[in-house]
Amino acid sequence: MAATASEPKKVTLTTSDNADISVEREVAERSILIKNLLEDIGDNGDAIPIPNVNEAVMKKVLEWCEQHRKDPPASQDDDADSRKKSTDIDEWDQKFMQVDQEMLFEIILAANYLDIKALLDVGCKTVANMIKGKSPDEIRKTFNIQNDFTPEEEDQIRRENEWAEDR
Amino acid sequence: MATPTLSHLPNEILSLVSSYLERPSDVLNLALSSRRLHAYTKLDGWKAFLKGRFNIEGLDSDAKNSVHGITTLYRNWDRKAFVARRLSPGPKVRSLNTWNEGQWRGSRGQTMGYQPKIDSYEEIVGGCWSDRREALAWSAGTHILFRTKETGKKAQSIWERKNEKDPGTENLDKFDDFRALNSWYTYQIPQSFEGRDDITALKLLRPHQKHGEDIVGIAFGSASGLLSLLRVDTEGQTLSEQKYATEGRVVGSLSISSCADPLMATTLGDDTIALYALKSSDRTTEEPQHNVIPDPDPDPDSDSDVSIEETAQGPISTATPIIPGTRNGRLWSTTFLSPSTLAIGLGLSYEPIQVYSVIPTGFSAEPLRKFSLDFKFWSGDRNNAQPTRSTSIYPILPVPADAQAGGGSEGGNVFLSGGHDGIVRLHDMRSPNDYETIFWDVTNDSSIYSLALQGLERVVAGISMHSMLKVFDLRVSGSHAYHHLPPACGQNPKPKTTPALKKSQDMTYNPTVDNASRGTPNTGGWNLYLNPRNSARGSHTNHRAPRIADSPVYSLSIPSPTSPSLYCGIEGAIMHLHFLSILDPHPDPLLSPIVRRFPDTQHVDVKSTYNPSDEVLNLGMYEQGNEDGLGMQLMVQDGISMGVRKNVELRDYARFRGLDERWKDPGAGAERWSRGREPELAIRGGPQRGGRGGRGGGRTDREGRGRGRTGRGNRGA
Repeated sequence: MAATASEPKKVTLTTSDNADISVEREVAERSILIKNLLEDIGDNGDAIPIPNVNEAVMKKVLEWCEQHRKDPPASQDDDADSRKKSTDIDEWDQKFMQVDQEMLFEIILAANYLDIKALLDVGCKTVANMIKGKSPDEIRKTFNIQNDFTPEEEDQIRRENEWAEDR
Repeated sequence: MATPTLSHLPNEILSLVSSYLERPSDVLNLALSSRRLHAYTKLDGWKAFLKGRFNIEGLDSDAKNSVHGITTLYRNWDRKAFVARRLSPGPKVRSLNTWNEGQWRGSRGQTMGYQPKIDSYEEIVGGCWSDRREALAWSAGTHILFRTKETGKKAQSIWERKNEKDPGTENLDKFDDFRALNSWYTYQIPQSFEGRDDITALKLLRPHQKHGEDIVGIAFGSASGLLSLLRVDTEGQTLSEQKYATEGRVVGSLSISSCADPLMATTLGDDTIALYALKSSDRTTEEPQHNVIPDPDPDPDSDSDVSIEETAQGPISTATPIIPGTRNGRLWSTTFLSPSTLAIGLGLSYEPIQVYSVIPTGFSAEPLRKFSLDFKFWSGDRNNAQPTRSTSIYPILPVPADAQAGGGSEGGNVFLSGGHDGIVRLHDMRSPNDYETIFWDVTNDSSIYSLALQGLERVVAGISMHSMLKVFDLRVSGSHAYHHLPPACGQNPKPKTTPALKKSQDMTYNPTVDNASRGTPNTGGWNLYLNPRNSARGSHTNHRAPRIADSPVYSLSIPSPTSPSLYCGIEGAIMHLHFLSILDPHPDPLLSPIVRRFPDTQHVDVKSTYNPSDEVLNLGMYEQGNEDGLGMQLMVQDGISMGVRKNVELRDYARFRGLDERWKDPGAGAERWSRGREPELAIRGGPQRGGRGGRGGGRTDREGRGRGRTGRGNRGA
């Protein structure tokens, strides 16, 4: 589906907070959800409602789509493959993901909803990197999680999983 | 909408996060952070980590145990932690010729011990990490030994039943020290003579190729040109045999493609490869094509005609990669890289690897590709077109696209070769390069006779002398490169060369595209002597003691990427290395039925757990070092006892860092190399000798010597 026209086709997306965002179709189609919608209903110029994503998050997501507009589409197969291969995140994406945690999780949820696999992966890798090597206490601090275990419960889980401690 | 937090993410997304975690402790610490995340981890977290980190599927219901098991296995390999035994058949072996049960008396009448060929595979059954079925077969002269081994719930319940009813009942002796249920079978080629009709090639059909629940398929070829597929029904006690026509030529090598209805390729004599269709049950429907071997070899004194009957099925195609009379050496091996590509190793030759494409009707007329292994590329001198080096390639081993998937190499593009020059090379059919990486031992350049892969983590090479194995890290793209401890904590006992370290950490490293790393050989492996330093008490006395001090390692087999076993075939014997660490307080769940602990300390009673019959052999090894510094300090395994714990405090911390507790300095405690030569002599190569079995015959190029010193300076000039 290479864009051949000299003037790029645009589509309009309406976010949950009723903002209209105009974006090149090629960029919007990084989202499989939008791509399928456009294929199903045809591009009649109507705005496409995206009820689960607000304007701020949508703009951020589209920024990513713009950057990655020329990426080869992920086929089902090497999708699973590329996941295995690397936990590395490229430099641009790393910078892109330097947002507050609320936005990070919003982006992940939006990527999941909009079906943008590569963005979802980058988001989840970022979260994984925030967990790696941290103690439970540090994880709680990082993600602002309340410790709701009793000391006995915590002890029990530790004892059952002693093998998993670094040894 | 509520502000999203980590705890509020749906399990589906948390699973994706977990799949990118690094170590089990990451998963555990996540679980320890809150009840919600603990509940998630129990339900989905381990599953996602197992799938994402190790690409293991089908064990979802047992994900936590599986993570425990696989990380422990990798840890044990990293730490060189294993227990070695000589493998001998149990007291009762059922003959496939007569179906009688008796004691196996060994292969007799050989002037030297037999040269075993081994094949094995293992399945995890029923989605439970500990429930496994392993099949192992090896050739012993004109005999085949075959064992099925069952561990897990089924074996456990039989054990308990037998134990309750009356201990000492006959089935109990089917259990080995690891409380696995073993069934042993033996087959002897009818009317055969040891030394003349010896089995030279052997492969097992895989479960998806067997065409029946209890059917075992064993394909073998002999020195006298017998080529046969046995289909054994161990339950129904029937044996059917399909013979294949070879014109009486020696079957030096045999490979079976991974399809459900596989093809079989063999070398015949020195110059011919032949392709056969292994038809399943409906073999009457298709008329076998006639034998098209171009050079009928009317061996006049071949009285083995008895065994090559009219029913022998001819090959569907043959090819002669070696033009008779030319000085291109001879064929050494043939291996399916994929169902449609077949590699052959030959030499001496400038192009000792050829790959043919295989179509249902036969071979391509010309090789798809030839690989030249001269050194001009990695010496950096690409302008010099004059090939300066020829060698022979013995074993070739496909590297599956995904080792966990099993069933052979899907893509079949990447493979390893083992050379007469002592180098293991990694090749890629998609790359213009003749090889991508070499694995190179700076301390020893003996020929490589056998290769095995441990997942996508390591390559094990058996060499032509000293009963020695070499182990190299194989960190290729798609591997699950795993260190239990982060490298910063010093899991690596020696600092590796920078490129090697980079590669091992960089999961995106791809040998195909990353040309920058070409020219830097992978060094820093370790070498293991299979010659034991102690004599085991429990070995069977009616077997002639094998000469294992200075044998070639003819064959190697690792049943599966999740199996802790490595089987090694040396002259007249099979060695079993079981990768486990005796002082590990949390051993692989596979071992949990046998682990005995002291009631007071809860420490593992290592002697009664791991060496109840005094069969364990203590081996010696050294680390190769690299070009910057040779390792070569011999270390030996301590016996299996609680004393090992004390020894750890005595040994040199820096030298033994990251190694299993059993390794110690042979000088300590008046230990001496008990058999044969001094270790130093052995390490430096000892008396040069060509290997047996004809393979050493071509050892004429002495260029290989001294490679360690000249390095990659002016090779090819």
